[in-house]
Amino acid sequence: MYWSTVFAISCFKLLLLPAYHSTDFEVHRNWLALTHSLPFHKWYYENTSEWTLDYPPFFAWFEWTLSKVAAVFDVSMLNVNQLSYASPMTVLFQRLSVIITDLILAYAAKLCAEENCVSNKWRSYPLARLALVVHIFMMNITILPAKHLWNGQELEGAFWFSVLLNLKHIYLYIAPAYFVYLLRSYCFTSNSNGQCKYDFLSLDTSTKQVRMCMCVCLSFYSFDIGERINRIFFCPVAFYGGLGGAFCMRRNWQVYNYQARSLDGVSGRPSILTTEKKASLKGTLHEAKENIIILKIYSRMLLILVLMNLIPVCFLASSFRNPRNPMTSTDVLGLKGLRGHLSFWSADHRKVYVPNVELGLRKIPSSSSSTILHLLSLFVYLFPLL
Amino acid sequence: MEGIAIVTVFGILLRWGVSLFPYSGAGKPPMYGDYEAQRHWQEITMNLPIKDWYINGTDNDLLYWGLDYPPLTAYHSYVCGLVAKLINPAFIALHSSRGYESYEHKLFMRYSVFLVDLLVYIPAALMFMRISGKSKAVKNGSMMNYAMLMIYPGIFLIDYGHFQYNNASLGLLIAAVTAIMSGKDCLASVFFSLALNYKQMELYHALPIFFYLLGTCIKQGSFTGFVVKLIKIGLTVVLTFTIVWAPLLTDLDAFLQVVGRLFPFNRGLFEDKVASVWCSLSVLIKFKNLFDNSQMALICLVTTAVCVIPSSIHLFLNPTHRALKYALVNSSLIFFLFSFHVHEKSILLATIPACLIFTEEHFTVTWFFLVSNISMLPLLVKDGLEIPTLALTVLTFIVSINLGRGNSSKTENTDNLWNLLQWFSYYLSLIGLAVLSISSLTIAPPARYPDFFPVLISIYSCAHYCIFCVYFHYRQFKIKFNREINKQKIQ
Repeated sequence: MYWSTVFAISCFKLLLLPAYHSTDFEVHRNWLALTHSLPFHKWYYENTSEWTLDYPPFFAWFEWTLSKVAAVFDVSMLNVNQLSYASPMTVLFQRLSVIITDLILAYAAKLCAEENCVSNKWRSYPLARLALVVHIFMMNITILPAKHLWNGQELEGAFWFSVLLNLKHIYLYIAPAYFVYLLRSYCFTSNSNGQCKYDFLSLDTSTKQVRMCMCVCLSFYSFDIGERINRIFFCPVAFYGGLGGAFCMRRNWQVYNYQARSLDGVSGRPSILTTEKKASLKGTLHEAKENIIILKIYSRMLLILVLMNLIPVCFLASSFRNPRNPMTSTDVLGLKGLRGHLSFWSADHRKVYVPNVELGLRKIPSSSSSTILHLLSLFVYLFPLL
Repeated sequence: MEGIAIVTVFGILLRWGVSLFPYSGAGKPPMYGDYEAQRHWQEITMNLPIKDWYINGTDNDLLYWGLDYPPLTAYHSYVCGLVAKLINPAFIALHSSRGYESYEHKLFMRYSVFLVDLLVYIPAALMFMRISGKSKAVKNGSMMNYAMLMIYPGIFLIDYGHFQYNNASLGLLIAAVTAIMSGKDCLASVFFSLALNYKQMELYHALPIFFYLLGTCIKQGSFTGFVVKLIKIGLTVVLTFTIVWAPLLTDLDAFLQVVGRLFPFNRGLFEDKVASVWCSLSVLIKFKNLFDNSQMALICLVTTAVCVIPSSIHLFLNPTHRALKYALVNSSLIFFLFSFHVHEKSILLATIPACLIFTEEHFTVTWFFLVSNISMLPLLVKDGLEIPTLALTVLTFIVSINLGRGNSSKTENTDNLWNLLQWFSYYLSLIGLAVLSISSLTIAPPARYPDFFPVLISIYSCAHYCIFCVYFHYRQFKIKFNREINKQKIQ
């Protein structure tokens, strides 16, 4: 029944082939082109198109693999100079690639649901929510790490999370939570009283620690360190985006900006100066605004503020008391995702997925009203983007 | 209740999904396709007086998509034209709107089909579900019938994709069957007359309806009862026809002209490659060289009449609701296989009644649906609809498997050798369908036979239809007839 639903929804997704596709379509086509035609040490330097590669290396390799299949569909899409190329075969290929990778999501969702003994209909729930918009915006999320953590397989969880982090840097939002969780459940031992203890001297503890570190470091191994890391880390962070974000976003900084505007009337001078529009490296055009009257937020300041925001979440008491309880860990992840989203420099609508997916993994309470609330909130977030 | 809502909304979602794709003749001057035909009829009906709609004239060039459906279609086009005028008169401006194509126009046309679905097809299907749910035999299955009526892709691939209004005439047919099942024979006659006046292809179903009603008249038990009922139904039909045809009855020539347009014998035995017996046999026997059009028309008439007699007589002698549904399928299949100038789209006239017997014949009807979808593939490929066709065929397969799980059917028992053979041939047939459809899309045909794949698909489908025809006849004749129960039902 589950897989029937998955394949039925995939069939429906095929009907959406001619539907609208966003600029992300061109972004991914460009990445297919540059990973296919250039040697890998040039991938992060290629800038013929405005959509330069700004995802970590694993995603680049993933695009490279896809480009091998793309060559069968339509070789012209793999030409870096063919900007905004969207032949029917290109559209077909891109949509099919999303539909097929969605099956990974389906598999992970099924495993999670099975672990959690959730009833049949809720297995399709994360899928149904994500299917439509994921398909249009071409994103894929894997929730395998969470599933492994639930099983108590911390190493696998750590490995998959590292993979995930190297696919999309957005998971940095929830990295601290994973880190703390792993630290607590794997490296710390608890005796029968439930008290936690960190035994520095135990061989067992240190081997575990080493293994964990290796998992995390494995992911950075594909490229040389140094200049590449610099490039990889600072491209994605999109400092040009501005605090306001492209659309109306309910975040702390929006409130901050509104406060600034409200001072307009008081001071008689414009409080926000709009500099010229810059294309952020993530693909949405923002107006870079600077606050003049109230405190101007600099990037480094922001990082510190973000970290301060995230720390309380990390050290939620429940995370320490019940390390093995998967429910609370996903709650933590969800909360963390939300706080990261709320306070980070530039975020857009798609990033709200991360907390949504994590929250979606929670046991859905049986009341239908909470389902409706959940769906409505997702809809409200996504509607401006659609 | 939620099940019905989900199925309905899902059906509507699928319809709108298909409407994203192109329509027939999109961007292909000078003739374009059926979409342009429908737009042109709106233009003609809005700008010309009624008596000129079917007549060749300076303003009405019959060679450019002249009206060839009965008056109800013309009236419907007129109403659509009225709305078009409100939105943008350029849609239907006389002469200058030929080949008019725009995003807004496409949206308007898709909405017009959707409106017919909302007003005619879906309510008819819901009423059918409700009425058939009252009968003990199909109590649990009425929902399944409704689901198949909504989800069967053929109808909305043609209506929302290729572009036609089959949902109007088929919806009226379902309404007629529903009325019969609730004992309202006069209302059924009205609905069926309207369906017939919408598309003359409903003649495929005319014989079963006629024989059923005649059979119920005879079963009244007395001569006066017989005459009264006969007169009631007869009057209803004549009245309906008169009302619909009234504006065109003023002039005999105009009337004859319309009839001539409705039954174009000069068009030939078949157009394109269709899964009828004549087209399949034409590969070996060149009928066009042996007989001329009128002789061929006669041959088709005689063959069809002879083949449709067994099912009709059985229905006449046993006018039960169940027999009626089977007879509808049988009659339309016979007509499809043997009559003159058949379109691929006409298979819908057999598959929609088949939805009505989905509960009783779950296995065969599913098979029938899958074959019918692929048989229309050559037509739909021309419209750029190959992906929805294939996707929806797979979807039909998935849905029918899951619906079938709840239905305890004899055919699921694989201990029996016969059942094993059935399942084996079913899966073999599906593999054949998959191979045919994928190869027709990916492999180029040999230069000497450019129609290689359409012909192959037609012959393959025709063979299946012949088997299904024999099977459904067999099932109709096997219906257990209980005189007592039926006397009560009719009275």
